[in-house]
Amino acid sequence: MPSTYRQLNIRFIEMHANSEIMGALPEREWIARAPSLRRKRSLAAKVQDEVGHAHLIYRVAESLGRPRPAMYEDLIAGRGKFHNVFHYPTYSWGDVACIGFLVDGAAIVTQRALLETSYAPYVRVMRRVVAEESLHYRHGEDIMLALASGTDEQFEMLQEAVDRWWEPTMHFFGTDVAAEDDPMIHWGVKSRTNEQSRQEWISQYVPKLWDMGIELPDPKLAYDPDAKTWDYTEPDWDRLKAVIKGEPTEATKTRLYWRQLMHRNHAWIHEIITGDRFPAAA
Amino acid sequence: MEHVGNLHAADHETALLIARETHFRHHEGVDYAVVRSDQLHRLEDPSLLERRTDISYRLQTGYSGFREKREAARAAADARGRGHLRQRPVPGSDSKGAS
Repeated sequence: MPSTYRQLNIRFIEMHANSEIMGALPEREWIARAPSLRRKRSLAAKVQDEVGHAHLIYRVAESLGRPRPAMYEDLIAGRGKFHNVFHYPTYSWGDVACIGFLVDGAAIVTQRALLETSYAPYVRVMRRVVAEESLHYRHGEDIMLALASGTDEQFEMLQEAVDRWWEPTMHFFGTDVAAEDDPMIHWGVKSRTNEQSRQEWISQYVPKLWDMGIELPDPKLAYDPDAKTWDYTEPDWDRLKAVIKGEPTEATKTRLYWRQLMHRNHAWIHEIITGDRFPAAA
Repeated sequence: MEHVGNLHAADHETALLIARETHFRHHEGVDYAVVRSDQLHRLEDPSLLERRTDISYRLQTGYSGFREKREAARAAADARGRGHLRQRPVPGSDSKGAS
């Protein structure tokens, strides 16, 4: 296997696995505050699925030569990379709707594209992940519809959350890189360009939001039926860089602090299940 | 890896040879493994895989009535004066707005 291919895959897959965990954490914050028992159980099941996905995806990176304990310890030490959207705080149940529907929707678009990725063990894991994500999509849409057709207070809470999550989700797909300049496309890791995925996501989700009477905070957002593409205000890419490369956000610092604590306190469980001995985490 | 069958052999080298002859004569696959049956540890209590409580929130069937819910959301949007949003052009609408 060419070492470039191996390294590109490891980096990409490790970031994916890290993101499954860091994506579960903002939602986990709302399990205790869910508005009904059914929502609480559904959210807990979704969080469990995401952690399960992390298990599967870490294993794929491990199969390429990257040890799992190193990946997890890098993540909780703040060295591991994960998607921009999971660096943000949550403020209301409206955020849970947005993460479950819009952000997860973005992940579903990119994960569907990964069903054609060139590394077969990754494809096999993605089949299971994509099947479980389709259930998460229903959960997300159910919450969105309940809030959008609820009281004025519920509607406004949802609109306010959408206003905050729009730009981070547009950022999620990355800058527009032409296929011929993208090594990820050259090596078959990605089968769509960033812009293709972003357009696909806008096409799938913006009409549904408009249907519910939810506006997006971009006055230029419009579909051009002749060009068959969406026009939009170019996202602020410096803001994306600041989030993923700058000082960790408060939300990230807090979430990683708790992960470090749990990792130390629960090291004995790892040892029993895996038979490995963990050195005391720094 | 998929379970494709079983065979009788004195040792694992012979088992690998026999398996190639009995199960992979026509190149069905790129890799295979053999394991002695007493080394295969199966689930003893299959009831561990059964469901004991209502977990419809984990299943597609637990989420239904989306057509009615979407209609209710459209009606609520109209009541809020936001019905015009769905009249905007979207893919597949021939500039006539989402259906």
